[in-house]
Amino acid sequence: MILAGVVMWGLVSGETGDRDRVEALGSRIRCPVCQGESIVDSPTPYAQDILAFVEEKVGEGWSDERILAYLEDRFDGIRLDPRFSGRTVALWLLPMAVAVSLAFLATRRLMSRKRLFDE
Amino acid sequence: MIAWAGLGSILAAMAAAAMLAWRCFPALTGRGPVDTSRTRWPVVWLVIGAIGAMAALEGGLLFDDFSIAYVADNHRTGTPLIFTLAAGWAALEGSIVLWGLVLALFVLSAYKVMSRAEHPLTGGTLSVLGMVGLFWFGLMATVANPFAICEVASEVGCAVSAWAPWTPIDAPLEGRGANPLLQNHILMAIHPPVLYVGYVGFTVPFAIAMSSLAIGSSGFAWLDLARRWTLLSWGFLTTGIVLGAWWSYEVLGWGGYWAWDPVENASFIPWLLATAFIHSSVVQVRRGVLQTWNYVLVIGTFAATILGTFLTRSGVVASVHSFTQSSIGPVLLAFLALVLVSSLTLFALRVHLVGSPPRLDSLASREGAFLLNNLLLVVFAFVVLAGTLFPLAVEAFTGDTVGVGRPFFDRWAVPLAYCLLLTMGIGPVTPFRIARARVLWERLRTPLRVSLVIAALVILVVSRNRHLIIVTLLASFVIGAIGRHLLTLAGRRVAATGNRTLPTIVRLVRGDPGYWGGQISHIGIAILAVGISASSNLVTAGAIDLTPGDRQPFAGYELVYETPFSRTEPNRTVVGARISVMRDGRQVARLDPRLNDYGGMSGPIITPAVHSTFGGDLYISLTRLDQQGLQADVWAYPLQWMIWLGGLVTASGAAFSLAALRRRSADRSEAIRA
Repeated sequence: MILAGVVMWGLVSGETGDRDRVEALGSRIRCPVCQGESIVDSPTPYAQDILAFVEEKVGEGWSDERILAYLEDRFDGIRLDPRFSGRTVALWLLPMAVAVSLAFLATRRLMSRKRLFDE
Repeated sequence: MIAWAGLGSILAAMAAAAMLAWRCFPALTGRGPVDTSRTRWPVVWLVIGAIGAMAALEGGLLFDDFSIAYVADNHRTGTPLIFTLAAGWAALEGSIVLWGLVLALFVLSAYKVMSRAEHPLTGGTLSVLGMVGLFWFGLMATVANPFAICEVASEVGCAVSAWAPWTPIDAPLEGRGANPLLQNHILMAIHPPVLYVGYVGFTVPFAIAMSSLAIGSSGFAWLDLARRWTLLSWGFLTTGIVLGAWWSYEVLGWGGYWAWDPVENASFIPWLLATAFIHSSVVQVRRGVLQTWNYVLVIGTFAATILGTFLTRSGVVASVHSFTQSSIGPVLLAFLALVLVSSLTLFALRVHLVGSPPRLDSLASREGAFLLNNLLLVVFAFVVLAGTLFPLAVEAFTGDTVGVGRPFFDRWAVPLAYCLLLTMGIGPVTPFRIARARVLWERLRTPLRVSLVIAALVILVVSRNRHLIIVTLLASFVIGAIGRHLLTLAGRRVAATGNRTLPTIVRLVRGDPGYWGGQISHIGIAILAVGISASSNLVTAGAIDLTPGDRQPFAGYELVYETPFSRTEPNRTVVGARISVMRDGRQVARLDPRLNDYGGMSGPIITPAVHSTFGGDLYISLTRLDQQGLQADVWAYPLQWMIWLGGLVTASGAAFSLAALRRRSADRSEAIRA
């Protein structure tokens, strides 16, 4: 019980492990001249410029959302985690749809004894 | 000369594959078994043709035969032997030759194993394998001819190539050389063949499933065999993925090992589906359910390997619109469509014959855990699939560029992985049919306590990072549950027989190789999870900027820039910096991060240097090196070795199961003979 308490306390009070804001934000921004790399991972000058911009704006106290919105206005599809919208609905819903339909199928087909007697 | 021999081999293999498919076809239509002696020669010729093609290509590379366009474009004189050989699969056409060779060897072993056992599905399986072989060798004989002749040479490499071997030759004096990234590390020679054995191997279970569907034979005839072949391929695929990650870490210099890029995802999707099949097949063996589902998984795994090849080999990833530039993209896409349509049609036509009656007593049982595991793995596969295909779909339909990267994948992968670990801890010790809460608590109490102790220690001593705490809790729970189960079973036997403990454990584990091999893999995954979590959550990243003689502290080390160096090797120029790694005033390592220049158009390749210890890795990757000094990115990754170790332990679980099963069936057949 004491141990469980210690672990619970650790979990509740623990750090989320987020790196500093610039890096966390940068890893969500796509390097426009690379293939699917974030501006944190890419060594290209273009990416480094954008990262420097993000750093500057974080320093000026802009919120994450404001920085992302600013960049989204200027670059097409700049986010590596596209926001949930009409167009990205397929991306987010496909795995969920698969999960729900599989769970439904499994319980329906494997658990219903009634069908077994019908057949 | 070599081009003639090579193309001739390909045509021979193609004819043999067609012959194999044709002669065995009656078995698929249910018109009786096939005389397997009539299929011996097609199989033999398929293997000879495939070996001939690979040998011809390697011969062309070894003898610097630049009249072959592939050699001119992927090889240059003076390349070290190992990378000359590896160039045989470093580019598109060559990789398909290797694919064909691996497939031919799989056909040979399937033929030997199945015909020796006089397995009822032998004919049908060989027919399907012949059809798949016909496709791959047909691909080599047409749009992906590795032996195309260089018709117009450019200064280095080949400008225009022609399919026909009788084309007048205009060979360049020097070749272009393989992509520098592919000749920068020894792993590049090993990783692709291992990965290909994994990929291609899934053709065999697919063929077995198809032939079983075609004749509508329900039951376990196909399942046991399909399971073993899947396990074999899965072991290789696991090893191949781990080696690929390791290569990425050691060579690419971006400081990571897994980027969720389409090439990696392409290998991960079939891995997830095959893992799901390995688990769900157990449920069919033990409880006779999920028969139809198992067919779906086997078909899905095979289709995923074709999809992966399409994604990585057609250029579609760079841009949707570039893939039509090579003619191979549409062909692979058409093949994928053909595979899916034909196998799913067959499945739909036969499903009423092979379906198993639905019956499960309770979801609170081993079966329930397996179902949950399958649900998680398949959803995981669809997450990776959706994230990989989504940018392509958007670009194809709207022309816009969209990025889907690490944040998206991680958001799904992390919770899915936690759920999988939890299932992995509870599932294997849950009884079949129905699990009483008291029994389950009895079995889980001790591992739960052990994991709480370890997690508490981690919190108090190491870190309070939430992700790391969760992973250590789950991973130690998994290993603890396995350990407790093993010791309890062994203890009972020791009490009953009075034998010594250690031999009892060995006999116990060998007695149920399927189960205990699986537990070895589970332990591997648990180690892997801790490694991933520790190295990504406790990483220290930084940059150094030094002139010779300078020193800078980093993550408990002190880095001293001793001197720059440069040397000329046969195939490259190396410039680098010697850095002393000091700890507490003592030198613990010398690292040589480098920039390797292979000539040609691409600039120098950044080659990182890594100092590995039990505690973790120190990773240095140069970003600039000149007269004034150096700049480098540096990372300290705790417990990085656990990732490689965990991956290899996971794969070794499959090796253990297969070896033990083999020995057991050998013993049995000897017993029958005696």
